[in-house]
Amino acid sequence: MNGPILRKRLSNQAVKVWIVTEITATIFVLLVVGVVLWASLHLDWPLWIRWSFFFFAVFPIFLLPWSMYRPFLLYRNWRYDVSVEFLRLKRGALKEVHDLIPMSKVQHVRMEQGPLLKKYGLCTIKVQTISSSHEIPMLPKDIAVQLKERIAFHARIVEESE
Amino acid sequence: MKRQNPLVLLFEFLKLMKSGVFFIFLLFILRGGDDSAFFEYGRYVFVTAFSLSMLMTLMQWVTHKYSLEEGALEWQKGVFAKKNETLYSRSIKHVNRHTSFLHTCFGVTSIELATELDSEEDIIFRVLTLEEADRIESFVKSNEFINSNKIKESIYKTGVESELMVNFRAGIKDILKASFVSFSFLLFIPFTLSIISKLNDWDRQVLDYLLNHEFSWGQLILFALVVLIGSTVLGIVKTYSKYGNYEITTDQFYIYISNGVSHKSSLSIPKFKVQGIEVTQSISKRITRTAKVNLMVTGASPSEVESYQLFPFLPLNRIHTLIPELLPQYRIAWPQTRLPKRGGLSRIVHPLWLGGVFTVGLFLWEPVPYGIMQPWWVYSMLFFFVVVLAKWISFWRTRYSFDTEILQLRTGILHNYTVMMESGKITEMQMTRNLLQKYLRLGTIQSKNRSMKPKVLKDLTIEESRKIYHWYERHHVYSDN
Repeated sequence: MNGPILRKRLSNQAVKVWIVTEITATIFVLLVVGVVLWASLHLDWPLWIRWSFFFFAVFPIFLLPWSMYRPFLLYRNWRYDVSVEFLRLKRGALKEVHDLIPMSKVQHVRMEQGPLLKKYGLCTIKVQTISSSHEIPMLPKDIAVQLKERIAFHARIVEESE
Repeated sequence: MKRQNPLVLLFEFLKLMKSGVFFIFLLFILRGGDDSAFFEYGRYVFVTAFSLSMLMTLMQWVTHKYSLEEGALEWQKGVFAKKNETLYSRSIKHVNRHTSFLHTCFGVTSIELATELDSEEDIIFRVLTLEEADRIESFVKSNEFINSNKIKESIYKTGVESELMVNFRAGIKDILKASFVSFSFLLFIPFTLSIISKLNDWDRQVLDYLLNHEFSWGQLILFALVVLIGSTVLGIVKTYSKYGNYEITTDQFYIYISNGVSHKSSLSIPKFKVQGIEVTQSISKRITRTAKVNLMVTGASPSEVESYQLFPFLPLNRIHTLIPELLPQYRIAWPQTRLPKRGGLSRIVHPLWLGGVFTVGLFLWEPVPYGIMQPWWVYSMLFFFVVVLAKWISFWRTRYSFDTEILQLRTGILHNYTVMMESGKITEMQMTRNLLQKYLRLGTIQSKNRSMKPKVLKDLTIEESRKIYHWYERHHVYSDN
């Protein structure tokens, strides 16, 4: 869907970090399910509970190839750009989404960094507008700081020129 | 960047003491000498919890910092994960200054900044010196945006009286139509039922006699006529009491709606707060060629949808001229453009997987609803038929149009729903397409608006969706609210 061509991409470490996140989450889920499964085997719980937990244990493993492939798709399709007037986002492989957000409607910019992202020096930018909120994930910290300041700057410029 | 006033620590400590006073009294005074395990460990738990929360408060105080620069409040918080926030003064709704007895003792005060964003919590400065509080308040008031609105509002209220114009006055014809459309003539059914339920025994004997007595046709028709006329009159009176003297008037800045016969009420809506217009036609209104018009207006908070109904039974051809009289920028014709044929294909094919799931379910369970024996595939066929028909109608009836300032969408299967939005009031535009739409060269447009649910237009050609996207790009001009 040829909207305007957006050039800026996420950090090239994004794929790696997403995969690490996925693996960590999967391991965590497997651990929890494993403990419960063990308990259900030793504590004589009803059969259907055993089966459903078994299903929960197998499910994330089946899902794993998809969650390994998904980061590549995400990274390949994520684009964003900032101009004086607009913040533009483009994302999604299966469902392509273009967002057009006027700077004048931006109310709030926020930079967030969880522990995992901190390890890789990445940040997430969250933009709140009058009607909804948007997220640009996996940005290198220096770029994120710049972006946050640019958005803040342009959001204010519009206000002052009114 | 600076920290909050250190007195916050004292205030938090006292607050904690206040909420813990019951436990302190119980654990250390009332049962202070009790060595039973419950109270023994209770004391340990209490002391641990108490010191932990004090430590948390201390760490929060160390890590939370803020700074005020022109038009923006920078806010740093988070003990473990650092968060950096910027809040602009234009998104602050109001300032609440609260000074408790304790505050007065120390010559300080507290301030609450209520933000317009519903996702964000309000910012509270628990302890502030009076100078700092003044500084924060003037930061909010320095906001030109709010000031300009305030000035405008004061002009609205006291300024030059522009002439009142009567735009619509509900006449006898409108009242009659209204009473017909609202089916008020069917009122006699609950009315008769309530009379019957109130009859006592003696009356019941009369009723029995009436029921067993054989009436002639003439008598029956006469009776029916009396009931019908009576209830029609009743309905008209009821509608009149509700919508009699209904009047829509305007001046330069406001729209006024007043009505009521014995109990009068009136309402004024600032024009610049109107975000969009919704015109809804139910089936009965489609028959009588009337419609309900709602003005969508921003309320006290943006999440609050306030919609003001103009007269609910406006004649369709009158709406056409009435809307631009109230709001001149909406000088428009009904939307005309239809979706492309392949849009219908996309719309019908897309929900079919649901039909697939439904069919598989039927195949496995073979339900027998209401004891009606039918092979399972009959229901499946029925389901597909209903879905396809509904989707086809919704495709067939969809219309849209966009010109210099107004975007219009019309949807609805049985009813008719038209929404009109001004480009400047649209807050965001989104263009999407799924795999099927990609293949068929179609797109979906979603516009977000401050006081309405997002409005979605599915399955228009990719070229047209791109046009709307660019239309918004050109016409997103900043306007108040």
